[in-house]
Amino acid sequence: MAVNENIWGTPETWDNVLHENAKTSHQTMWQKVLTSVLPLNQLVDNSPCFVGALGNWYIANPICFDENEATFPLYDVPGNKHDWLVIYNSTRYWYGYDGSLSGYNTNTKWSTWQSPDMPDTSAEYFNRTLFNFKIKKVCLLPYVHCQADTGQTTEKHMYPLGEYIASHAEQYPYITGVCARFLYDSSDTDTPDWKDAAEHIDDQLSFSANYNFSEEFKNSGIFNTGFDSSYSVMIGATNKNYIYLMGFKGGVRKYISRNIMIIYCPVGLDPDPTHYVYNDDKDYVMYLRRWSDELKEEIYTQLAFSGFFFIGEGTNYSSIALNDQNMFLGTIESDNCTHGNYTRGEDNENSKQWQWEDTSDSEYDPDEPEPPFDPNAYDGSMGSGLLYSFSPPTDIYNISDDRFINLVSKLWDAMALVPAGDPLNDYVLDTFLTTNPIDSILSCKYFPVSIDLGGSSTTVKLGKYDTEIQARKLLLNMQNFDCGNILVFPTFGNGNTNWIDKLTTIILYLPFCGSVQLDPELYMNRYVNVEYAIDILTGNCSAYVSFTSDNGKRVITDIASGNCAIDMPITGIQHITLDSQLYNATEQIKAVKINNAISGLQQLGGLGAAIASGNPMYGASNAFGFLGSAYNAVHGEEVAEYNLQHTQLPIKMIGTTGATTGAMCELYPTIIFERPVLPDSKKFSEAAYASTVGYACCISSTVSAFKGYTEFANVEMNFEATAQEKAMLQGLLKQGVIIKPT
Amino acid sequence: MLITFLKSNDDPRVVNKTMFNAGSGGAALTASVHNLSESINLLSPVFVVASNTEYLNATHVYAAELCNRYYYINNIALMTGGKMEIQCSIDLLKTYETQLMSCPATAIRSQSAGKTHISDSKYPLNTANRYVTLQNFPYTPFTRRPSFPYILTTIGGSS
Repeated sequence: MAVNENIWGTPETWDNVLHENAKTSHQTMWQKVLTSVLPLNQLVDNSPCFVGALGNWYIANPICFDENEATFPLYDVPGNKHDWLVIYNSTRYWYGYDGSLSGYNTNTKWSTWQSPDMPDTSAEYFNRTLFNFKIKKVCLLPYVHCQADTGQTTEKHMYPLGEYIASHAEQYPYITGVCARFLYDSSDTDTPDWKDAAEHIDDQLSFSANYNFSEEFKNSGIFNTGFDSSYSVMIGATNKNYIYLMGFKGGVRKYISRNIMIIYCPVGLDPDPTHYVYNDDKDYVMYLRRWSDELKEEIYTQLAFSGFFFIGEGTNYSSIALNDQNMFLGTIESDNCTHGNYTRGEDNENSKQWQWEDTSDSEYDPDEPEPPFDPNAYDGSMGSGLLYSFSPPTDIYNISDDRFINLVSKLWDAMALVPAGDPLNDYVLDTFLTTNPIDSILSCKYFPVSIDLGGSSTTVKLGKYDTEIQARKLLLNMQNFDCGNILVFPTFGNGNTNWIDKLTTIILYLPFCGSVQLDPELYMNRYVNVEYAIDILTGNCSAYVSFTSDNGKRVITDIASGNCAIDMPITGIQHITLDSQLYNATEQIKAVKINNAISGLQQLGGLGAAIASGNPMYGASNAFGFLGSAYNAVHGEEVAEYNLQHTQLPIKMIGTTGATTGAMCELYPTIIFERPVLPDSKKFSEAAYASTVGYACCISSTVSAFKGYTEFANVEMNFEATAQEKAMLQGLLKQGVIIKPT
Repeated sequence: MLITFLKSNDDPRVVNKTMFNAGSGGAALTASVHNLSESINLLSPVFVVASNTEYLNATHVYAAELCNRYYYINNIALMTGGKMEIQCSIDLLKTYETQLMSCPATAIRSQSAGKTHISDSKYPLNTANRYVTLQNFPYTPFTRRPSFPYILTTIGGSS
């Protein structure tokens, strides 16, 4: 990675170890420039970057600020590539507004680094980026700032992350800040000897914005030590030994009288303010987060973006090895950027950084076009709810069984109320808005539901006529009901899904709505939920079948509809209608929904013959088989007999389903599982099968990672042997070898 | 050239075979090869050695001077003149055991993998029987004995 030597000098003058002789080896490398000359939000020189960061990293995109920048974007758009660099700053300098060296209380221009021609008096101080250092000689040690409760004056503590996890998380669960300091390996042997990088430079501390600052620094994403106003502090860069990960609240306040180099640090590890406890005092605003495994994972992710080694757990780290289980390492992906992923322990040895002599071995090129980034957050969800604005221009009453019997008889009583001498028709018309009083009842349905439909207590009124029959007048004509969840448990894999579980047939019977077949590949090891939505006006009901996605969102996959209301004939005409099912038939034709597994198989190509031959195991293996051609070549040749007919239960629903007969069938949604049966243990030994045939797999590792009988597809033979010997070895390995446990 | 006689109880397909000295009491057993003036096939060598009945206990020959190769003993022929002819074929797995263990590889069948998500066409699932079970959902909105079952829709009342 080329470095702009005009700015940073020649390689002979560079530091190779963090902070070693740093204080005296170089002059200050930057000076104030007018912001009108240098565009904002740009690095002067990207060459000291040894890794780009792609994604939602809060320490990235080094820029310079204009002092008049009163606010700042809360956080950058996730996905932008960030070139970032570590900056070491022990300056005691600050610059006046006009470029002269000045003291306090002058408005400071934000500065950047541009050219090395510093005034002579700056010789003993410097600010420079760190580059071309031995990355295996430094690591980050994260710390948390914590306290026992959300009180403003509650005593605050700071512990290394590993020690906090082991001993203090329960006692001090509220986190007010997270930072990381550099350690460097002072040993010349294979056993590290980690020393605090602070030993080499002045004793400065950087800390969270939550500490008790004066008004102008309150809620600031940047901060001042406060111990000595001559110190300057940075977020994101190393203020000698700390990188800050967790600022609080968005925005950067105008920073007066301090000269700082700022690494743009958007707010927090999590921009969702609902994740924070907010302590609002008129002079003091604090954001705290409650410790959780999710927060720990976020810290790891943020540290991983840096591409550094970091100590994620454990309390004994004075000589921790780089491949120790408690040592983590940010993963540099194939695009030479970090994405927040990390390895730990021996997996660190497979990293790019492990091969580097120093960071100049990095292949990262900041000038390369930004790699493509998926902008989707994939945090959508599907829901269901009631229509609240739906109010029919009729009255809807909910009546109990015994009171309904009395209702119709009341109509006869109504006739007796005709005033003497008044024409009957006039009375009826005036009272019921119809010449036939029975027509004031527009519909009567019987609902076999146990839901409390609510409503207000009243008496049934037919037109102007009060029947004095107690009932409840409904305002909502819709109801929904959650039938609960069932876990589709993978019975053959000890809680993990394997290929036998995927041969399970799952039929979900839904009362009044028919049945749906659930795809075992989709539903295995997931909770199935059924929710009914019932229309009280028409009796239509819909069953929503859903499950919870991997990121905790509801996914509705099937909707089956039917009618659960039984029409009660009031008039002769209605009875005829019921008999002929003119109404019900159109609402209640049902069929089994068959998940079209066949078309799915056919999409894989070339399987028509296999399916037609009645050998669906072949097809099934390809449908489920996460394929490599090696796998196909081997397993396609030997196929077990498996009758496709046996994979589907013969459940059918033919014709219409009336609500009456539907109510006479099962009323609970029910899942029917049809599972394969394992071989008879009297004739089949699982252990013997494993040791003589082995289980189908597709695992890539080293040969030594496997134990027992193993068939290899291909082995990469990077050792000295004759070509014939290697060819013979490949043949032996493909036929199957046995690796004894050591 | 010296060859060493070893014995192993392991299946020929074992990569990391355990070898024992073939001599009585576990003593080392070596022999000097007499037919060095003749051509020796690297993969299927024939070694002529002085006769020793202890050689009959061995299953393997180790030839350090043939680049540390291990050989199966396929046959031992008794010759005249107090000699034996050791007919061998190379045991490639044992010879390159150390190198093989660190090689990157992809396994398609493995004893240690257990049942995975990869379909196994060799596994004898029982096709004659199916196991059927039911699971009801915990709740339902329906009942055959509703308390307030009737929904009456009427002309809008004049309240």
